[in-house]
Amino acid sequence: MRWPRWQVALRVITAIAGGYALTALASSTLAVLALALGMARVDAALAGMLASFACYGVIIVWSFGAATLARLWGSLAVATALLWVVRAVASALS
Amino acid sequence: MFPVGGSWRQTMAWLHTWTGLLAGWLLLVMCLTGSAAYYRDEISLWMQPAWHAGVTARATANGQQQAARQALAHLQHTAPQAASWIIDLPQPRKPYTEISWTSARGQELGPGAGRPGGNFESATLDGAGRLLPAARDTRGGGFFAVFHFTLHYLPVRWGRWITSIATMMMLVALVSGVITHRRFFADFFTFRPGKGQRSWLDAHNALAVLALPYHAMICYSGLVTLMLLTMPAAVNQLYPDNRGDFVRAALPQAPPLVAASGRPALLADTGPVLDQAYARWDGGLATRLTVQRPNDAAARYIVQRDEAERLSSERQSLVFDGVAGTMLGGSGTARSSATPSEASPLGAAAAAATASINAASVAAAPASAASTVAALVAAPSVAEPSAAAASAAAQTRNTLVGLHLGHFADPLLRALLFACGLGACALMGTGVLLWTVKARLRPRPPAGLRLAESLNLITLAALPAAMAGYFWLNRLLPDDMTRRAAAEIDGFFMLWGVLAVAALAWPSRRMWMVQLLLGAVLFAALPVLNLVTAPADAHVALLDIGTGMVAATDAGLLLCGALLGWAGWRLRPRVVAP
Repeated sequence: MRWPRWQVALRVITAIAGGYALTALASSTLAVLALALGMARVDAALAGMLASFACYGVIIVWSFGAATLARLWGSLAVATALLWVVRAVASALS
Repeated sequence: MFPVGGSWRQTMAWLHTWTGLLAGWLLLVMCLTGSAAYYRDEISLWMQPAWHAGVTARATANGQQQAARQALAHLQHTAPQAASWIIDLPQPRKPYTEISWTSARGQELGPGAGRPGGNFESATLDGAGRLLPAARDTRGGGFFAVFHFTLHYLPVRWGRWITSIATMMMLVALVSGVITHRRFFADFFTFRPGKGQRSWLDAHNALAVLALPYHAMICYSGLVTLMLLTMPAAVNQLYPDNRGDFVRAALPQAPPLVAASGRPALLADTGPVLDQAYARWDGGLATRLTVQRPNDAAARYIVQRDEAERLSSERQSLVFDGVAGTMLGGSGTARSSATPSEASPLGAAAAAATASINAASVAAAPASAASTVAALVAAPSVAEPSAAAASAAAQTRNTLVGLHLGHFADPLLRALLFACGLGACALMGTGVLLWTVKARLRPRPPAGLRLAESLNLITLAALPAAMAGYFWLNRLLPDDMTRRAAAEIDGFFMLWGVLAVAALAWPSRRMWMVQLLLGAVLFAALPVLNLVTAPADAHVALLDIGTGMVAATDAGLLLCGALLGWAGWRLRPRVVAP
């Protein structure tokens, strides 16, 4: 089975733009979480940044690895929602 | 377009092909120039022939103390009234002492740090304390180091963004490549030479597996050096109002210039001051001695630790009373602004390359713009002992940056890193070659094939030749030329451009041979050029300890020529087609 071109295009956009946005969210969530768990503010920010590229890499690979677009977008939406909640809770705590 | 969809492994192979193909040539350029940057100090010294005959200073505790005394004597004579003096002590790879001082017209230094050209004057002393001839206006090996992440002619942020994006694509290519590669370890022992496409694939696989830790390290650490620019979300989240607070906390700044008291006083001897620093660092050497307000009662000595002996790029510094010679502990009282002297490109790692030999010449616009951002995102910091020891996150960052820069490496490890860098180039080179070899075999070759073949030539054959050309220009351009350093660099790009046009016009096997052999001849003749253009007394000193560095660089250049010559010779026309 071969993907139609529009699907390749959508996956590329999801990988690059969606991936960057989700990575930014994950990176800031990790930073807020680390701060809430007692890490110094500077280190929390550094930890969030350090982990970000691994996260971006995984999202990009998954953008092409997911079998269907529905599964790809569904999983990214769930991850976004989860991260958002975690960040809000951690922000409130710290 | 290579069809995509289907099995997981096929999809990953597609992703590997496309990320590799789109970023491969740029990555090759970055990787080749970045590998050369492992030897930036050696190249910079090679490019100052007038210094080759100097008596080299030894990078030992005694050698540094002697160098500091000589430097101080010289500075007392030249600039007793300067606001601050900077003494860059001899290092294993920098056999001379660089001194700089705030010049009279620049007594009051503005906040625009990183531009010593306008406010600083500098000179270089040899191991006997003699003033060396004025430095030749060149960017030396620093050009390769800075070019590999700025791409030179582009606006400051553009080059960094473009190289970061390419590096991110390398990360994806590495991950997808490993996934694609099912016989990961078995293939390491598989090599079928002389079998066209199969041989390229075997070489590509072996290179990838052999040095995978290096590829992953250099890729991820490269991203980390520029992360404040490319991935600032976490900082924006935790420092929403003032990113500057983060920068100051993460990269602790050097102590600010103390106010002068107006009362003259004698400076303490530097020997005991350095001894205290060595003791504090368990024998670790210093890299820089800064004297604030010399000959004033408020004088301060600041001793910065040499990061060459440690993995991490974190810098440590100690502050001493300049009159009593007693340690005041941490690096100063306030964290506020960095003194221009400490934040200057002389100290900023990425740009230090630029300034490594000729501090005064780096005021050229691209250099100073680069150093400002470099100081922000890539510079090792001056850690404050008063703050707690670096935390795990900061240490991780410092270690990654330190690994990328490779300052810690002794000659053997440096050679290994350089070989790994060339291995990464070969990985990318075999990758792009494999694509063109396979594409040519298709019944209907893709439209981009010719361009791809030209790009292979431009990166693998033309670039090394142009890099050799940069060395030639260093010796052939007249000493007193205006904008000489920039002319060397422009010449490098011109030569590369001419070869690139030829490669675009005739991407043939013969062109490969011609350009590889041109590079080989240019590299191999460099030791001769060195012999001919260096001052006569330099030859006598050629095998001296410090200038043994020059002889070693000559040998290395000869080796580069041999490597290119071997590659070119293999492509010679043969009666029987292979």
